[in-house]
Amino acid sequence: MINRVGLLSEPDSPTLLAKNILLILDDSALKEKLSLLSKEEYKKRYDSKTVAHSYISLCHNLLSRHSRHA
Amino acid sequence: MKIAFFSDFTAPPQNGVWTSIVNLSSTLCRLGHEVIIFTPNPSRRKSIKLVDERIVIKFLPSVPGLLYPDLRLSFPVSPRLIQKIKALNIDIIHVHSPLAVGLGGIFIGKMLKIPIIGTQHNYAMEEDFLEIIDIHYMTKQVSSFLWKYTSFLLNQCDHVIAPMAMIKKDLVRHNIRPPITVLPNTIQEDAIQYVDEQTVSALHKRLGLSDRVVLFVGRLSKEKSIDILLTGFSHVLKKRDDVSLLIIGDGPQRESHRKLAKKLGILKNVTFAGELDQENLLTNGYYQLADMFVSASMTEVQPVSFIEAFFFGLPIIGTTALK
Repeated sequence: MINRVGLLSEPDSPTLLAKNILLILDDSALKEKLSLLSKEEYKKRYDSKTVAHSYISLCHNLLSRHSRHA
Repeated sequence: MKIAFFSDFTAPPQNGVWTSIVNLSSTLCRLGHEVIIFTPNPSRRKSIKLVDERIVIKFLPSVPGLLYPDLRLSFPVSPRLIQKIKALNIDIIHVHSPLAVGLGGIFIGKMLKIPIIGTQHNYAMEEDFLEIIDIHYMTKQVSSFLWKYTSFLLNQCDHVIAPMAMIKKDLVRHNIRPPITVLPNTIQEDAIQYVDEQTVSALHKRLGLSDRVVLFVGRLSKEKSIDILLTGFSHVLKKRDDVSLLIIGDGPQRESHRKLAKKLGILKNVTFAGELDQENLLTNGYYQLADMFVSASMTEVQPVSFIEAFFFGLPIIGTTALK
């Protein structure tokens, strides 16, 4: 998930983590770019109403499948 | 539709599974459905604060868990609970955890012939996760047992939800037979409020933060690898000292993290703000004051705090996950 929108740090690497933090702190254009990517990522995947409608349709399908088998 | 959620995870203390359950419940209620959450009675019940008061919570009697602090244990099922579910005329049972409450949900669903959905929220059965939480003995066997147990439970469900495609792939690999749908976690957008610059700057001042702010929101527990975050942040401070690390959350590792920050000589630049309820977190400018969101955790599936950071347009630094 993260490597699509932010900078990737290797596990157990505090040095790389620090390097990435400094990159964003030192480069306002990079910060702006990553900020836009975050907002786009949100709109693309996590809109709560879209997710809830998918959930409801899943429930309806399940209920009709279940009543057919009952 | 009337949906009963069964979760062994409850709050306080705040945790990702609970927050994601409450967030989905809130949107479903907003769309005209009824959600009833069955969960263990938490130790600090009085401090529970939900952003959405339409969500009904039924607390089950519980005792403190032995292996993991703050995880409460309930009895899986009781005649009274079965009667209650029957009287409520529930359409769907949705199980969010594999412990006693989840098990009870599956049992009741089977007994009353109510369709069951199961969500796999985490990777607690992986060897790497067990190592991180200090289970170093027979980890391979423990992991294999936990996967078999998880598979058994999920195979009792009529449908399975995986928050990410990666989990779906792993569930298929472990012979989960019901249909699996990838459905991400969400946040409560309607509960979010942007505040003006003056309010953000007052909060900034009140928390005693430096000009630039690195934010982490999550439980202060071993699996979040906050020790790596603190160590990494100490390297940042060697290059520039105008940065604060703001840590929002609470948990069993609070004191050891504070001690580590002191040992690293960075306590002046690290603010432990403690646990905040969702309403406070999302309406008072905490995300707005940050320059970025950082997590060193290697055990995440799809943390709600990351989604909140996406919403507020924060750059995110994370680690490669377990795999």
